[in-house]
Amino acid sequence: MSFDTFTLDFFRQLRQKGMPLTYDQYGLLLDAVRHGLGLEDHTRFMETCCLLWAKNSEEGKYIQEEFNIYYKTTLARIARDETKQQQALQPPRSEPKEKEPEKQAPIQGGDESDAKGEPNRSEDTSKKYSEETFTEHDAPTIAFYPPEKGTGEGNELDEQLYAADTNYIQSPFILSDDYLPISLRQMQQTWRGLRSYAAGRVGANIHWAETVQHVARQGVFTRPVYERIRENRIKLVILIDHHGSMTPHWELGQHLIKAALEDGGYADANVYYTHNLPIKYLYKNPGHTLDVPLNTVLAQCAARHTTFVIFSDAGASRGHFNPQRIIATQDFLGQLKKCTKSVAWLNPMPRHRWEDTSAELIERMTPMYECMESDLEAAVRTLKTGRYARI
Amino acid sequence: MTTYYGDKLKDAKKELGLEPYIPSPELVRAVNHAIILKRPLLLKGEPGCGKTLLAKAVAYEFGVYPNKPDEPARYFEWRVKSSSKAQDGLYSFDHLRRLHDVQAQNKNGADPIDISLDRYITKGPMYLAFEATIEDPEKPVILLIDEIDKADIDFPNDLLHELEQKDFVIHELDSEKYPDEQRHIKVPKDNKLIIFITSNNEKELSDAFLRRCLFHYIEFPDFNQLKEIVEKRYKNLEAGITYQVIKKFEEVRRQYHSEIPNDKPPTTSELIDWCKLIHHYVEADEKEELEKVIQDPSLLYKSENAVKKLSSKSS
Repeated sequence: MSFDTFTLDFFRQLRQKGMPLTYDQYGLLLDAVRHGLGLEDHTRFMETCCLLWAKNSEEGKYIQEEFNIYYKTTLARIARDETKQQQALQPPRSEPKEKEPEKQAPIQGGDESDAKGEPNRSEDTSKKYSEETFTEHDAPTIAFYPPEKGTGEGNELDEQLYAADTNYIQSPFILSDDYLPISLRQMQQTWRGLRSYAAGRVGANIHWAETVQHVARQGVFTRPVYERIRENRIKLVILIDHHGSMTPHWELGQHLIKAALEDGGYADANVYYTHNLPIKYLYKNPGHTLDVPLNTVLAQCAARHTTFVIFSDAGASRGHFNPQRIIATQDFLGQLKKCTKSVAWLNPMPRHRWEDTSAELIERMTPMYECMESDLEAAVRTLKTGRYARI
Repeated sequence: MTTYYGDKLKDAKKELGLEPYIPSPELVRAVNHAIILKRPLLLKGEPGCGKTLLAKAVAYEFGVYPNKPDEPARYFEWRVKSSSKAQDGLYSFDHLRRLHDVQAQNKNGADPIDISLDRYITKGPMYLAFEATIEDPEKPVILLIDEIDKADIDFPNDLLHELEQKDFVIHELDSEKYPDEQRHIKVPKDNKLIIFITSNNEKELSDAFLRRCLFHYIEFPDFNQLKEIVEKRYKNLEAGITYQVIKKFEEVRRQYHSEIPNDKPPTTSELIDWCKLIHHYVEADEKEELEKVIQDPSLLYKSENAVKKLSSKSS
C-alpha cells in the first residue's frame, strides 16, 4: 500500500464522517510531508494531521481516535492480504519486499533524502489514486516503518499489529451525547451567513476622512461627518416545538439556539417555546410559565427585517396525518407571513419520513428543511432573501 | 531552515525581564511546522497557560527579542481590543493633521511645510513586521496577534488576504506620484516571518480563517512540567517545598473539577504567583509566615464560590 493511498483514504474517510476538510488542507499535508514533517513514526504523523486539520481540541481528539482505528484496520488488512499472498506464492519469498522500497519509496523514519523524493512521486501518482493502487501485487508495508523492520519474518508484523492494538486500547474514547446530523460549529457558521449589514444610525465618533473631504469640497469647515454604525438589520425569532414527539430532538433544538445566540451573531434573538403549535400564547421558557400572547409577538415583528424559524417535526415523527393540525398550521403561517420578512421551517426528521404525514402538506405552505448542513444553508438563504431557496 | 528547539529560554536571564518558558515537545513541533509551512500558528488553551509568552520565547531563541536599540526591530505585538479593526494592524492615515498642515501652509508668511502623503501614515504592527521582513528576508521576524477573538466576528475574515498572501496596498498614496513598491507592500515568498495568533475561545473563528492557520491547543502541564517551571523560576526554593506546593495545586484543580465544575480552575500563572509569595518569605527568612502560606492555597481561589466550598476541605 502506498503512502499516498494511505493518507488520501484517511483524508476521505474523515471527510465522509463530516469533518469540514478541504482539498487544500490535504495539499498542506502533502507539503508538510515534502518537508519531512511527521515521518518519524505513525504517532508523529498523526500529530501532524491533527496540527494541520484540527481546528479545536475536540476535533484533534477525534482525528486521533479515527487515525488509531484506521491505522489498526489498515495494518490488519495488509496482514490478511500478505497471508493470502504467501499462500498463493509458495515458497515464502523476500524479493517483492526488496523491490518494493524503490517502487513505492516508502517514507522512512526521519530520513530527509527519502522524503525529498516525495513531491515528484506524489504529483505523478496524484491522478491515479484509486482502489487499484492497492492490488495484491503491492507489497504490504506501511510507509512509516523503517524497512529493516519490515523485511523480517511474519512475527514482526504481529508485533506491529500488537503495538497498534495496544495503542488503540490506550487511546481514550470520546464520550459524546450528541449524535446530531449537524455539528455546533457548522450551525454557527451557517447562522453567520444570515447577517445583512447596512449603515445604520449615526454614531458618536467623527469620520475623519469624510470630514476632511467635506472640508476640501466646501472650502470651509461647516460640520463634522459622523461615522455611521454598521448594523445587522436582520432580527431572528426562533420558535421551538418541544414535548411529546419532539422530546428526542430537544438537544438539537438547544444546539440550534446556542449556535445562533452565542457565536452566530444573534445574541438578541428571541426564542419561544410551544407544544405542537402556538394557540394564542407562546412561552419564553421551556417550562411554559412565562407566557407571551401570540399577538404581541407578531406585533413586535418588523415586516422588513424579522426572520422567523420554526423548529418542529410537523407530525412527521409519529407519522400521523392530522387535518386539524394542518388547518391550524395554515392559519398560523398565514398570520406569520403577514408580519415577517421570511419564515423557514426546520424539521429534525429526515425528508423521507415526511411522506404521507402532515409534514408533507405543511411543506407546500412554507419552505421546510431537514437539519443538515446543506439544508440549513438553504434555510438561511430563504430567510435572508425572503424567496424559497432550494438545496 | 530555521528550527525552534524550545530550550534556550529555559535559562533566560532575569535582567531581560523574561521568565523561563518550558514548552512541551508537541508545542515545539507545532512551532516548527508553522515555520516550515509558513502558516500562522493559532494557539488556544486555558488562560494563563503561556499562549502569549510563546511568541516572546520563540523570538528570544531566534535572537530577535528584545528588540535591540541599534538594529531594526524584528519582534512585533498587536494586542487586539474589542474595538479593533483589521485596518489598525496595517496602517492609519492622519487626515486631520494633513488638513491642518495644508491650511497652515496656505496662510501668508508661514514656512512651507512638507505635505507629501506618506508623512501622514502611521504604521501598524503588521505593516512594521512586513517591512522588517522585506528589508532582510533572511532574518526571522515574529509577529504576535494577541487575543484575536476579542474583536468583532468579522475581524479575522478581514485579515484573510493579508495573512495568506502577506501583502496589501496603501490606497491613500497616489499611484502617479508614488512608486509601486511604496504603495504595494509585499513580502517576498522566501521569508522568515512567523505569525502567532492567540485566542481565548470567546468567539468561534470562521472556517475560512481557521483553514489558513495551523492549530495547537496548549495542554495543561503535568506534574513534571510544573515542577520544571517552578524550579527554573525560583532556583533557591527547596525541592520539598516545590513538591508540596505542586501537589496541593493539583489537588485544588481536582477539587475544582469535582466540586465546582462551572468555575475556571487556577492555572499556571496562579501557581507562579503562589510560588512568588513563598519565595518572598524564603528570602526574608520568615519561617512562621512561610509555613502558613504553604499550607494555605487560598491564593488559588478566584471566586466567592470557590472560597466557600473549597477552603474548608483543604484545611
